[in-house]
Amino acid sequence: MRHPLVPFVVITLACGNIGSPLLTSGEVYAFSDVVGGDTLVIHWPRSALPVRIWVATDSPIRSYVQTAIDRWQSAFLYGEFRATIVADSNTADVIVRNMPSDIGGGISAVAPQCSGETDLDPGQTAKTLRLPMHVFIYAAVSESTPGTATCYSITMTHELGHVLGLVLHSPSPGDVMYRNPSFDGISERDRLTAVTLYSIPSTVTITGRR
Amino acid sequence: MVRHFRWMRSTLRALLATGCVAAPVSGQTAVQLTAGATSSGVLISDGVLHTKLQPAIAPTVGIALALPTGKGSYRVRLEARYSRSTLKVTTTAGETDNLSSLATIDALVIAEGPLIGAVRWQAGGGALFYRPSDNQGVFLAGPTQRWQVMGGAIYSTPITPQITLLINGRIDAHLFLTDVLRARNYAGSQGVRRFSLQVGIERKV
Repeated sequence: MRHPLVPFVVITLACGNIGSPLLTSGEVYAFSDVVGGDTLVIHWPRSALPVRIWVATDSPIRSYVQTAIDRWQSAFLYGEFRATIVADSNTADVIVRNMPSDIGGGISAVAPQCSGETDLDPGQTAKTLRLPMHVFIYAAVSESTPGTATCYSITMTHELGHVLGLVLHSPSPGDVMYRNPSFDGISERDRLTAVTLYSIPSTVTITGRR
Repeated sequence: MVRHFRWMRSTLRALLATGCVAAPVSGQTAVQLTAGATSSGVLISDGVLHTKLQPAIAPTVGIALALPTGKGSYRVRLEARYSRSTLKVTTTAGETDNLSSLATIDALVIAEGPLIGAVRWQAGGGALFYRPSDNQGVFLAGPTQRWQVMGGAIYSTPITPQITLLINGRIDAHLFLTDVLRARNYAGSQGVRRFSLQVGIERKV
């Protein structure tokens, strides 16, 4: 090789940063609630990851919980939200059950075949959120009715969106976070909204982790 | 204390003398085994999400075949290296997090020639394969491959007629990008430099 210094020149030049796409407000929907004049931005701190989710081993919605986890995890590039299914409900951050809510007052999603609700316990002050969170998903018709499986898939993904901090609904029917969702997956707007949520500091402290 | 300094001085003299007189092995095919560590620069410095993604310092092993070119003491080296470490995330808010583990495999063709005494220059290039343990985040689409260039220096000194001790320091560079980053409209690619230090042995075959 006549010019052994050539690689060193190339190495010196290889110092540019990648160009990150800008997050523009037009591509996202509202994700933070205003309570008593305070804007509540809720997301899980890295110290609480992975979020531990319990669902009964024989529950018909168990596989949809994993699908929802995979979908939301894939929205992020840097592991901002990660979750895992755990075997013991006593150590869970989120408890998912296949029945109507026995708590009430949560954020709900309604489809013809099934319904879902996420109950967030506000804790002692508006700036705290107490664990565990509870998610209820249940069939509005017989489990064997066509479309129920898809409804479970959509609704579980929707409810896990609430769990990760998207506490408001999207105004667009094309998003899984629409109030009565029909999109089975995560839209680009859902993804960008979640990424934007996790790019700003949380104003709510999550307490009661076991 | 004085005896300690005397010992250090004599050791240093011996090392320098070895470095000056040891003839680099170059006229014969040889197999090299090395072990050491690789330190990588950031894979992504995200200016919008204020996040950096960087592998931790990785234990590295390598195997190489050194072939004489027939022209003086120049050699060609065919080398494979494997390293594995944790992928770390750091945010400007001060949060750090360990994600999955990340393995890299280097497949290199390297030219080698005399530099000074027992030290030889190295320059080359090849493929760099990223193999994450989980298909997540920037590696959502799975493993990825990049091209790299490298340069370095290798010191060699015989320890037996058949076996030579090697100390190799090098720097390499590549442009990091994955299919997921491309799909999510990231522009260009991230220049990544890696430094590595290896110690090994060479055996003539």
